[in-house]
Amino acid sequence: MSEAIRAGEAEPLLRLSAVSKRYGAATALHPIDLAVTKGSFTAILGPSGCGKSTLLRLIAGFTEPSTGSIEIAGRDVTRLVPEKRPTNMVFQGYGLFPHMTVAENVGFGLTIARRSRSEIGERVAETLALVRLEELAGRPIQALSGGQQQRVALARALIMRPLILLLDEPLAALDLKLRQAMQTELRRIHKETNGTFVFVTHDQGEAFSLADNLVVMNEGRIEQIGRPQDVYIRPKTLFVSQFVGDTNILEGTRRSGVVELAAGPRFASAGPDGKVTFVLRPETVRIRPAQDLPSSPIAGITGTIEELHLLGDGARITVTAPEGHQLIVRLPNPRFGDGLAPGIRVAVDWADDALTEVGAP
Amino acid sequence: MTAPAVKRIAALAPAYGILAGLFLVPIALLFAVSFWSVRSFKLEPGFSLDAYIRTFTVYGSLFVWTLLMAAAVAILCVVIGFIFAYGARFRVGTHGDLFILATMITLFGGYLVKIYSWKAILSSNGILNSLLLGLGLVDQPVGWFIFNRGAVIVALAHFLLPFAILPIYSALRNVPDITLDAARDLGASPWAVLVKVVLPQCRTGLVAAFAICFLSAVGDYVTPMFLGGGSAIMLGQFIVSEFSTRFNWPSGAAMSFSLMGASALVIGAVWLAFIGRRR
Ligand SMILES: Nc1ncnc2c1ncn2[C@@H]1O[C@H](COP(=O)(O)OP(=O)(O)OP(=O)(O)O)[C@@H](O)[C@H]1O
Ligand SMILES: [Mg+2]
Repeated sequence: MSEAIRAGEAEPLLRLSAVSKRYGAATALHPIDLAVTKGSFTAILGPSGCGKSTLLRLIAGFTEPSTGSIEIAGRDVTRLVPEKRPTNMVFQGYGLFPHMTVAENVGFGLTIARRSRSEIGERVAETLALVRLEELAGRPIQALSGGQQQRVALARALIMRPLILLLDEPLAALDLKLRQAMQTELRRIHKETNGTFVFVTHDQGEAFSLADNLVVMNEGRIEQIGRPQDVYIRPKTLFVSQFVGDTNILEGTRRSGVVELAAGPRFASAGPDGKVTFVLRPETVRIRPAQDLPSSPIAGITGTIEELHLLGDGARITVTAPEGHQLIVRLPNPRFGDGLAPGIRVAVDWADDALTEVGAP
Repeated sequence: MTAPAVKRIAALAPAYGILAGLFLVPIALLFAVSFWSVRSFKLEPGFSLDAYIRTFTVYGSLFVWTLLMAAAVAILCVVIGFIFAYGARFRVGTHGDLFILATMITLFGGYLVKIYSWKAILSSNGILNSLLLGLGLVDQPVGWFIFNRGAVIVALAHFLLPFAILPIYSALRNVPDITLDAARDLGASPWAVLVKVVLPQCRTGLVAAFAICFLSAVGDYVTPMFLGGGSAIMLGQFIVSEFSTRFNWPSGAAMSFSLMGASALVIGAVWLAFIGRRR
């Protein structure tokens, strides 16, 4: 703690230090470090089976870590049982109590805490209003739609005013419309309650639209932590670049400060000699018909448009270079697609800082 | 009535026919007999309530005792059965089903074998007394282990336990683990999770187990015959003798129907108390 104060940093609300989890011989989570600051909305993003739920269950106290320690608000909670932790969880699959009404479900935690009837009544009404379920207070759980159940699960955790709210893919079962509506609600609730949310998802769009802090995981490891836009623009690994959005992967070799890409272009880039991998986001690629080219060669590639998809909010173009290298280009505005059609020869290039070098997979 | 409805009823007819032939008809006949009378070992049709009056005047306290003993057996089975089923469902992990299968295997021994085993354990020269004597805890065989209501209750509960475990286990299997996690997450102690989340979710199983054990115990007459001592202590023993040695069918039938009615009331009350009022 003293170190952090000397360094002038805010002490994180949640800190995981070298936390790992093994199930017998299998490792669900390799040792990871993670810090979550108060008031942040952290999304944990990764493919199925990468250890997201394991991580959340470790924080909530349902599983004990094999190594490492967990601190919440400066207090070591590694061996603390879930009922004593200042966290609440919205479970994947909700886990609502089927023998209770909506209001009884939402009031369960306060009933357990032996709060007065009037306080429970008040706070249940208040929280149901927050998730817009006031009219359904007396309904049995079975008589709710999936989206309504999800909001009951959210209300049941929110009413406890946890220091940290843990959400395990709470929107996964919903259709797109409902999911987007719930994302908006979640953002609003996060702001209104001024809470700290840790949200697990395998949907990158969801992670980007909600979070101000993104944790990308793969195979039990954290690949990258950062602000969503930073992770998107500067992916650290090939996995992150591929998992987060569309990407072009350009391979090449570096010899004494000059990189030559297999697809052609050469440019200066400091670093150790040997094989290198760069990623290039499709929307940072510039494209124009080849006849417009100045006669001098540019730092790009010439090729032929293979495919052109209009996406409604833009166009996705596949360009094939002579040696068979393919490049995906995204244009935000369909008007720029005019004059571009399959079979047309084009030149593509990019700004120097559009290329991001990534570590080997 | 619509045509499909008629068809559906017609499809069910054979099943209900068998049920009526094998179950309802004999019961109805016996019910009629309970209002008849007997004169010099001969049944005389008629309508008289004498048999019922006799049931409650002669056997009144025994009637109550029988209900109490059956209730004790049923409660014992539900409590122990719940502990067992809970362990199989939440503690044994994936092998819970095998565990339950193992309890079914104990039924292969049969009913009389279990009674004789209890006799061998509880009698004055039985295993329990030999053990106590051998350890020097007593210097004379203890006589009150056997031939009383306690011994009958223990033996009946032992025999009926698997029938209680089954419905409770199947009810517990329908309780999602995640509801237990959610309750703990919301601050519930393990005890509160049990009382507020697990028990309410499996209460139909508990009531079913109670009903099965209660009904099986209330009509039993073999266990009290072997372990209950010289004088009969359960109504079933008298029902048997009314039908066989005394040839007083109206009395036996009236006792049976009184016991049935009382059992229905008990189970109805239990059902109302634990299930009926909710939802
Ligand atoms: N109780 C357990 N025993 C053994 N292995 C487990 C257990 N729980 C999880 N695992 C393993 O740990 C790994 C991580 O599981 P986890 O549930 O954390 O994945 P996840 O990222 O939440 O996946 P999903 O997106 O599908 O929910 C998986 O390979 C899983 O099989
Ligand atoms: Mg998961």
